[in-house]
Amino acid sequence: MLGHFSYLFYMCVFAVTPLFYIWLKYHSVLWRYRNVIKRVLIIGIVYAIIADSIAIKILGIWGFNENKILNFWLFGMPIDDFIFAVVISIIVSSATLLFCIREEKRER
Amino acid sequence: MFEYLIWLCIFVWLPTILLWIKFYRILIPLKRVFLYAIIGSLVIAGVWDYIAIKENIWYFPEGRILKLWILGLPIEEWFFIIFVTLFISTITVIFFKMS
Repeated sequence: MLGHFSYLFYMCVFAVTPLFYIWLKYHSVLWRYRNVIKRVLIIGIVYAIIADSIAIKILGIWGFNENKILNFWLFGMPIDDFIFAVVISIIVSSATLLFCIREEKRER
Repeated sequence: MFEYLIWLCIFVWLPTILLWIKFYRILIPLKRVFLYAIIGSLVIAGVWDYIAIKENIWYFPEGRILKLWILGLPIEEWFFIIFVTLFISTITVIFFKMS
C-alpha cells in the first residue's frame, strides 16, 4: 500500500512525531542545549555512514526490500536509513537532555 | 551466524565501554537517565521494528544472526536498540556535562 514510502511512513509515525512533540513542548529548554544536540548529530551521521555501510554492504547483516524504500543510496546505505540516523540521533539526544535536566533538578 | 554480534562488539559495545571507562565519574551519577532512555527506546523501537519486519521493509539474511527470536525480533536487534540508545545517550550526557 505504501510502497516505496513504507520506511519513511513508519519513521514519521514512530520517530518524527515524538520528536516534534518533544520539541514543541520543550523547545525553550532544548534550544539552550542545541550545540549538544548538534555535536551528537554530527557524530551520529559519521558513525552511521561507517558502521551501517559496513553492516549492509560488507557483512550483509541486514537488507532492505527495494520496493519499500526510496531506493536512493547514499554512502552505501539507503537514504531512508541515513535519515533514520539523523532522526534517531536528535530524538535520543533530546530525550536524554530532558532526563538529565530533570535528574539535576531532583538532586538540588 | 555471528556477524551481527561481531558488528555490535566493534561498533557499539566497544566504543560505549571505552566512553564509560573514561567518563564514569560523570556518567554513573546520572544512571537513571540511561535507564529512562533505554525503556523509551525499547517500547517505541520494539514496536516499530516488529512492524517493519512484518511488513518486510527490512530483513535479516539467513546465516547472519543467531536465529534466536524474542517477541518477533532477533535477539541482536534487541541488543541494537538497547546499546545504540545507551551509546547515543552516553555521548549526549558527556557533552551536556561539558557544556
